[in-house]
Amino acid sequence: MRRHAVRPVALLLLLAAAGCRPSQPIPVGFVAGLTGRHYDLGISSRNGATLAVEELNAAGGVEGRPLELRVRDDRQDPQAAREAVTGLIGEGVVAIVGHVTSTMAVETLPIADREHVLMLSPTVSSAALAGRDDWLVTLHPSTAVAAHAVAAWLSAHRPVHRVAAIIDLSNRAFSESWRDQFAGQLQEHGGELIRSIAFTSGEGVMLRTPVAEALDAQPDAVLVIANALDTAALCQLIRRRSADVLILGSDWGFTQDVIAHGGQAVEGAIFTQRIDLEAREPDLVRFRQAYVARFGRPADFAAAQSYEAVQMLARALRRDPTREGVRRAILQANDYAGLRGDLRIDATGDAQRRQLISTIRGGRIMVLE
Amino acid sequence: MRRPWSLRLQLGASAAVVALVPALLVSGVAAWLGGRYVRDQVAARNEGLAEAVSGEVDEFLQGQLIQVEEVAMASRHRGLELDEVGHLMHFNLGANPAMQRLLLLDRGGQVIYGLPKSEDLVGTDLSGEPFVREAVASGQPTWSSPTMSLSTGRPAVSLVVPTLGGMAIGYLDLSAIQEVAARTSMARGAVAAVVARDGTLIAHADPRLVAEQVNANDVPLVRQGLAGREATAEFEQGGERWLGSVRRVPSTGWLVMVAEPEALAHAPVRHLQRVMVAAFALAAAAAALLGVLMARRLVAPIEALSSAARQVAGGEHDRALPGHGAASCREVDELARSFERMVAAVRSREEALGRSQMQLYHAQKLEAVGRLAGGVAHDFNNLLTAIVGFASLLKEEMRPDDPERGTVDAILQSAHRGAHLTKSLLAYSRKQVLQRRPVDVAEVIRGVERLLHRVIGEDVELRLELPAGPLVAVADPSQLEQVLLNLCTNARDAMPSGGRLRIVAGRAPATEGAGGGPARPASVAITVIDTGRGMAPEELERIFEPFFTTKEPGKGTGLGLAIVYGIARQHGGDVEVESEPGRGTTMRVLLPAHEGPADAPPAPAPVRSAPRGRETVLLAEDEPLVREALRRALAGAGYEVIVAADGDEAVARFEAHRDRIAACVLDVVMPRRNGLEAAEAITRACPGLPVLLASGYAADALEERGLLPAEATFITKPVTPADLLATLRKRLDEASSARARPATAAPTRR
Repeated sequence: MRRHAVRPVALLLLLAAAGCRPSQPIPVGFVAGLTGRHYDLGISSRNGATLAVEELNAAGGVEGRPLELRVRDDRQDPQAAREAVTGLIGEGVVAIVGHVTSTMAVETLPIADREHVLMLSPTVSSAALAGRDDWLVTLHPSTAVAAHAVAAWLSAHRPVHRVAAIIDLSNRAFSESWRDQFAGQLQEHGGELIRSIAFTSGEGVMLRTPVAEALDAQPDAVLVIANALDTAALCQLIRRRSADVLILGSDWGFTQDVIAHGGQAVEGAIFTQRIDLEAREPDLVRFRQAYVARFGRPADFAAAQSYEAVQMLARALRRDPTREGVRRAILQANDYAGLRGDLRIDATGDAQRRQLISTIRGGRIMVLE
Repeated sequence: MRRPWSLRLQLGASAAVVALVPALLVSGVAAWLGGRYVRDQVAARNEGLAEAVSGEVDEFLQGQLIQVEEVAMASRHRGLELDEVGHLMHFNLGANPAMQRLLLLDRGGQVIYGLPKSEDLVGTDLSGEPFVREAVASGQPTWSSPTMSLSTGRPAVSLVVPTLGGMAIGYLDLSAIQEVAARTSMARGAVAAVVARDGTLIAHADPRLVAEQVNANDVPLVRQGLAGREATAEFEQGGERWLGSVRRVPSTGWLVMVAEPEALAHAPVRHLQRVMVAAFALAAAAAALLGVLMARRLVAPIEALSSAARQVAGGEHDRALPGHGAASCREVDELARSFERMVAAVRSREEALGRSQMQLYHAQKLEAVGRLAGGVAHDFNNLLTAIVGFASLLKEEMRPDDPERGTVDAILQSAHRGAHLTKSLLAYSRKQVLQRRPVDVAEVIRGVERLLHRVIGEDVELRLELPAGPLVAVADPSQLEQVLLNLCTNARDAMPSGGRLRIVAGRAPATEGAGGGPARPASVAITVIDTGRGMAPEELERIFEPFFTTKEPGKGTGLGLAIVYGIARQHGGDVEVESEPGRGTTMRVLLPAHEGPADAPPAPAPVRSAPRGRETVLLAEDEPLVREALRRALAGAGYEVIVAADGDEAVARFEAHRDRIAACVLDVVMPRRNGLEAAEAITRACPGLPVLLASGYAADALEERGLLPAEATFITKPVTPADLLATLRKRLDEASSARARPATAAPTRR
């Protein structure tokens, strides 16, 4: 008797639970270095992606299904990166937003290619990864584009002939790509990369030595390819030894941190930049305000481009919510132009967008071109 | 239509509901109050913990501030050399594990001295650091936003204390705060966290979240706290509901949050609710059981009553009802009593109805017989009128010594007996003409006492029990005498070996038809009680039927009691009889009582010789033999007779000879125009003209219809020549004396 009474009740409860259950979320992977030497890009990227997911879900998700961002830390460690990506694919994510450094992307792209899971990288830009028919879509144009732009700008506005480079090998894929692309372009404009000094970012590294080595070569300009903190420290050391050598920086190290930690040393340094966060496009303004409201600090390019990556993914999911479908939709439809409206993804999944040349003046970023 | 629920189910359910609703309410209120109490307790505890953690964090920060201020103070002292300041800094670094680095900066923000020593350090420009800029601007000690230390991988914060000549900066490791958060979180599953002003976690029970610099700004309570509201609230995070409190750390504006999952916080309430649910289930079961028992106890007598009612409805009036004592309550007991009374009433009414039906049956039977008898009597009277008329004429024409005179007498005697029989039939069928008036019934009884003595004979003792005063009823005294005679004759025949016969007269009060019987007005009762052999029930049923008799053949006509019944009914009364074999019979005749005095009895008519006359008389009769007998009787008495065979002819003859005609003798029942209509026409034409209406049929109907003209006198068939001549002479004489006093004797219509 009791059993008979319980059964229908249990059935009703199950039905009620099924009726009340929200739509099944769409799992989206996120992988970046959240801890370790290059956490700044990772944290910003995660925050940008988080904001996009929160906004999309608040607006009803994708076809009524919320997105669920599954965040993994690659710790800028190849092994950890591979495990994170494999784990996310095993969990059934529809795509992965990440990584934020080219070195990590190089490590995990074979897995994505094999598993046919799209990786949408907000910041990866090594020329070695560009122009390939793979499962990587980048929102940051290739280092070749940046190097070409800097070389051209220098030739036009501030001709340099002797350039020394200090590069961080902890993100070798990016750093070397950037340096090599720049060296080639420099040569074309009549200049020369006279010396390249490498260091590996980490606890206890003595930056005085690479700076001394670079300056000993009597360069017109020093090219620094490192993260923002290291770039700031290197700039400080360079300025202590030379007040007039021109400092060139990569877009990797061009965040607010370089201003905060670089002090007067970074004033006048020339950087490449992919997105002008001070621009006035409505989407960008709205994003900037929302980001500050949510995270209490200004957005950087990594945050903005991660936000764009998730928005792009959501559009693709609306067209086709499968792993293959997402890639197809992004590469073929190519209907998301980013926060400034200048973003395009080409047939191989590489970003095309305006290249900016900026400097720091009075503690603020100023776009030169 | 939906069948209503049974009383037992309703009572049981009602009892259960009555028992459960308060239990449910009490449980609900208790659970609510318990929930609120526990929530308040948890909130108070969280607030206390948040306050304590906030205090501890602030104390830690204040300790660090003091040390950096010491260095700052030392550095601005004029006599103090850098090495001496360095000594103090070294001491402070050694004594304080949280202090990672101490720097002295010049006014431009460049490092002039730092410990631990580093070649890259001196000369580093920190003027771009936001917190340095803020300190320079405010001149106050300023805390940086917490950052993740690249060297330790743990949160760190910088503190700058400006001095006149520059500033001192301390770099602090915040592991101590993480330890406070972890220690607090260990208590009862609560989560303690410290949040920077931008929402980034500085300390949390889960260190991974701190390492990954998770921003807790999406927690509503954190948002409230960062907006400056120290609050305690419930919120949802990670698909779980929490109850938490936030407090600010005064030094830095950071936020301390202590929260507890609602499931955990409310565990005691849930336990209480489970206990209550169990208690409620028990109470429900007990209430249901009690309800069922109570309902059974209450309903059982009602069901017994219901069952009895069904049986009674099925005709079992003698069904024993459930005892009163067994009733579940006073109301049901009262219901049982009422039901019992109702059953008794129904039984009584059914019996009365049975009696009424029987009486109706008898009445209808008697009515049918009466109609037959009346019809027969009418024709029979016509025949007898002719026989008596012709026999009387024959006898008158005979000589006194005519040897056939005896034969004619025999014819006349037989005709008279026939007339008597006809009269009896009419009496029975209530078609005879009654001469009703208020009479003293006792007086009537006394008047026939001698006659009754003769009828009942020597062996029967007659006793009259009459009231001293008058006992008035509206009745025909001669019919009353007939009733008494018949009843006494019957009683005598029931007492062949003698006995006692009592005649009791008195008043019977009106009844209102109690017990289902018909209502009866106040009556005068004449009760005749004998001590005879009595009657069996089957005899009683038939005693009023004509020609029913238990007497030997030749001893009775079987009309005695039928006549009594007929007379009583014709008077608007009734006859009741009680009898049992061997215990005598009581017959009671009831007549409508009259409240006024009795009328004086009419003076006896003077004995007259056969009257004669010479006037002209119009005789209308459709039966030729009767017409001829009456014509010859009238003509034999000297009258001139004009005859007519029907009503129309009578009126025509009257019109033709109205100057001569002094009186009319009209048969009532005639073709074309009956005697009444003819009399109406004639008296209209000649008011005051004597009219005699003859019929072998009842005159009551005529009277009731008010059609008997004032001038008309009714004579009953069979009409003997002597009666006809006497009545005619009387009316002629009255008419002539009326004509002599025209002013006072103008005829009036009734």
